[in-house]
Amino acid sequence: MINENRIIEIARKYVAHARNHQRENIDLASSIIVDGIKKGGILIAFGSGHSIAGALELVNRRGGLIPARLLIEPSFGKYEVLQGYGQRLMDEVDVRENDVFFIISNSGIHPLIIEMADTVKKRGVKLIALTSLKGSKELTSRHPSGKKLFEFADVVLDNNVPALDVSVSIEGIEADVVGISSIANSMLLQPVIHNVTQQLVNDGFGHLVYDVSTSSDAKKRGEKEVFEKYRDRIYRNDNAIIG
Amino acid sequence: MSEKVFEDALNTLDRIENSQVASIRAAADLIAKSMEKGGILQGFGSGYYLSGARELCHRVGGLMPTKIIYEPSYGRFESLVGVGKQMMEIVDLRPEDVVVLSSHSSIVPTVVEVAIAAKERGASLIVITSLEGAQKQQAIHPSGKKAYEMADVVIDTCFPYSEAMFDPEGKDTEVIGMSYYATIVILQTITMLVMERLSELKLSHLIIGATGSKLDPKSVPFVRDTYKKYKTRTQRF
Repeated sequence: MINENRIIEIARKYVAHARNHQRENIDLASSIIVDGIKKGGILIAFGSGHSIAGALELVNRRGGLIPARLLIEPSFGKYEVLQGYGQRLMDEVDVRENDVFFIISNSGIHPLIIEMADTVKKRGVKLIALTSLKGSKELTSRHPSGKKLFEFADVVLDNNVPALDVSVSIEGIEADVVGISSIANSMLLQPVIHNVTQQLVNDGFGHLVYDVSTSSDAKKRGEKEVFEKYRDRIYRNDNAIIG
Repeated sequence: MSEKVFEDALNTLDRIENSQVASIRAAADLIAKSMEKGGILQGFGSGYYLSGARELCHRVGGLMPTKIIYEPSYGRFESLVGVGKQMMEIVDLRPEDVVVLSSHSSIVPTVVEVAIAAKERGASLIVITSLEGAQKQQAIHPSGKKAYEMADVVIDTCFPYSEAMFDPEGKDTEVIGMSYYATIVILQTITMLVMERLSELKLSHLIIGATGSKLDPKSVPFVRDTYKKYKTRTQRF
């Protein structure tokens, strides 16, 4: 019988990985975001398919950043293999100077991700990538350019997850199973949010962080003003063509 | 600064290991039984807990008879009474199915209405929630109900309601939730235990990529046949 604590043990391994091997990248990613936001930019987070989980950790959470939005693509990952899709999608996405683009993709090889990263860099915007370096290097790019996500990024957060994101072997099942990328990613994303929030508060930009609902009326009014300022950029319903 | 995140993550893992394994096992048994009968797992989470549903559904090395219940506004209207009820009217949910609902508070109206619909239709319900907080909070849905109260199995994220692990000085707020981290660890442990059970039941064809990686052509026809059987039930759109 399988050890019931197997996933917990794997999770501990990824806490150690982030703590011992990714701290510099976490700090660099945090300072890029802080810098962009202080200059009036917003954080734009994207994850294709199930990597949307990581993007959701970065935005739209209480206690999180106000100047941040989730980019949603309408096929839920189904069109990510199509050449040209990322290009068309990005034609509709408002990316401006001082914004910071955050792409989460375990393999980093699909056309959607490559075209998105390429566009972002061509528009002169900072790009943070969360990917599996070893996984990405093992696999072949599915884009004619032969490129992979990590090659475009200003900083790479490496989750160290196997290429196909399967990590557990179970008797009677031929291939490895169970995806743990979200668990690994969380240990890279949460420290970034943690650092960014604290830095903004320290530097006098605490009004850009959502207060919790228990805040006083005065604080809520202040938050509304900040929200107004960013509304045209973070209004969630203009995310491409979401349902 | 990130040190506190890592410490809290390790503490969270310890708490789950020490107190939730039996409930996780019960949830996995319920799901395996449902799949044995031809049922499917339907994942739901409002707002950023959509990720919870995402964890369980449509991934390589994951369970095939699964579906995400997509709430089209991504939680923007979750506090509006009726949203969950309206949405569930167009969701195909059958008595042999299991709904796995992830919710930090258990009291948000959309979440409560999904739980009510699940029970009304005779499906099984597993709720992953921050139990201490969910018990303390006043119900806000007009029914007076909270999602976890309706569940066949409740799994506790072992994280207090405030969800605070970090209070930036000079800011009346709380950021970063370890309850979500706890949720994904719990969900993947459930997935693993369901798969073990399916393997024992000789049902490992219900696992995506179980006969070799998805990229292995010899597994494709087999996977396709199984998909065909479930297609009308598990489609993504």
